[in-house]
Amino acid sequence: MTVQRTAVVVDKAVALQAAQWFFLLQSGEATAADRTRWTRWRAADPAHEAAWQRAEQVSGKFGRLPGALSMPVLGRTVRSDRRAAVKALAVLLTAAPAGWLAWRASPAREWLADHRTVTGERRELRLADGTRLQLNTATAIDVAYGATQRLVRLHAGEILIETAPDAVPSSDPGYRPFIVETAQGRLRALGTRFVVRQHADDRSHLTVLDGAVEVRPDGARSLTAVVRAGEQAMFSAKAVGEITAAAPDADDWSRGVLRARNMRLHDFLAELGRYRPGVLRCDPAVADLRVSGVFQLRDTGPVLDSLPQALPVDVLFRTRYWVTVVASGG
Amino acid sequence: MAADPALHPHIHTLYSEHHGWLQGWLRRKLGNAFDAADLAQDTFLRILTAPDHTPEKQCDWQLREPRAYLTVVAKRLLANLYRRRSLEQAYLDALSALPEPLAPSPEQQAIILETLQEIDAMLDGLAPPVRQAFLMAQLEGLGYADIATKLGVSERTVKRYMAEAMARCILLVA
Repeated sequence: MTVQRTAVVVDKAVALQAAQWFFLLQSGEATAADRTRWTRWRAADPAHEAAWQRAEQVSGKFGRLPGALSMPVLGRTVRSDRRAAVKALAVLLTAAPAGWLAWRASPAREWLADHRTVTGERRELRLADGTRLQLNTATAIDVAYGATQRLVRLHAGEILIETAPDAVPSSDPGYRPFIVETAQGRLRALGTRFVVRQHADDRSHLTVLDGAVEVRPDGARSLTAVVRAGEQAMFSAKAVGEITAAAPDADDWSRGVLRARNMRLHDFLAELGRYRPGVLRCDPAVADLRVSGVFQLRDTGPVLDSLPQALPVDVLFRTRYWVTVVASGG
Repeated sequence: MAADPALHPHIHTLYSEHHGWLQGWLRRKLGNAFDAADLAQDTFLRILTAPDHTPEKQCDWQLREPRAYLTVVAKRLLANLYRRRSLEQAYLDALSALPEPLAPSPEQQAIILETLQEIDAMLDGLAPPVRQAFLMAQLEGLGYADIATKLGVSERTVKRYMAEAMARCILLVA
């Protein structure tokens, strides 16, 4: 046996009328005359009555939901869009500032606070709760502080975070955990100072300086790992890599320097290139030369100029934005 | 449900000739064979069970451009899947942020999650400010004036948003 759903067809216009009646009555501003008109409207057509019943049904569904739990869920930005947007962002950041602005101004993001740095720029933010956030070069984040959590979304680049303890203790019902989200997963701060970097190749890197951070890859939420002070780990959406001792220079950039200790020239230039607009290439012939020293990141020009004094290389400026480091005398 | 392929010769042809291709297409989209197999199955099921007057059943277009047709249906299911997954994730996050004593019982949780999925599906496609305004009113109990301030629009606009969102729910509520 089948139960036939009401054969009455509710069209858009009727649905809109029912909605308007619903809010008028809900507002408490309806007069006796309004109520009479409302009763007449309902009786005038079975479709009106059906639409009204459905309005009450919708209202009933909302009534079953606890607000504190439901708002962050229904009010979220839908993930698949977000992912697509993050992918698009990487392109926009390098290619189309106008497009980036348009994306940033899109209505979905109106209620989120957004911050970004351009290549070579670093900036410090202090968030509403006192948490200190430093943005490294070419970084884009959203800050979404809600009723149940303090969330920072890292779309690109690298951030150093010093969380402030939430105003209420973690045992209190009002406690909001501090969470950083990358394209690969979520990090939950357990009271702390840490660096997160979103790599372009679908990986994120975490270094914990103080306290501890819990890592939860998006694609494998059961594979949670806790990274403690002095440790680092790379993670993808599928897994958390091996947890190893942190590099001592993980937060050097926050002080505006790049420290190299016997670093391959190739890696050194890749790192330096993050702070320069344009292309900085390393000829494979000199890739394995070693570099040591502390270099200012504010202006990378002098750093490049000084390379030939320390190493057997030449720095070729095809343009200001196209630089190649090759073997000297070549 | 009438799932006998003999009753639907078009769909039978569609299935035997393009099921493998669709599954491959979905696997590339999803990056996982299990979900792809499920979703390919769902796609044909959707086509099979769609009422005759819906675009899904317009056989002409099924036969002329079978793969384009299948991907249209599959894409819609794929978007649903993403939406459901993202909701589950957001739900678990919100839940994990709740202190233990406030967390709902497993029975309550099942109802809440189901209701959230229903409402989320109804609200899908609304412009973000319309959705926000509606949620602020229904979940947080905010008045129109507060919502207007938060969204930077007039109260009149908030009123319009409310009616628009509710009308959509009325049309889609099951």
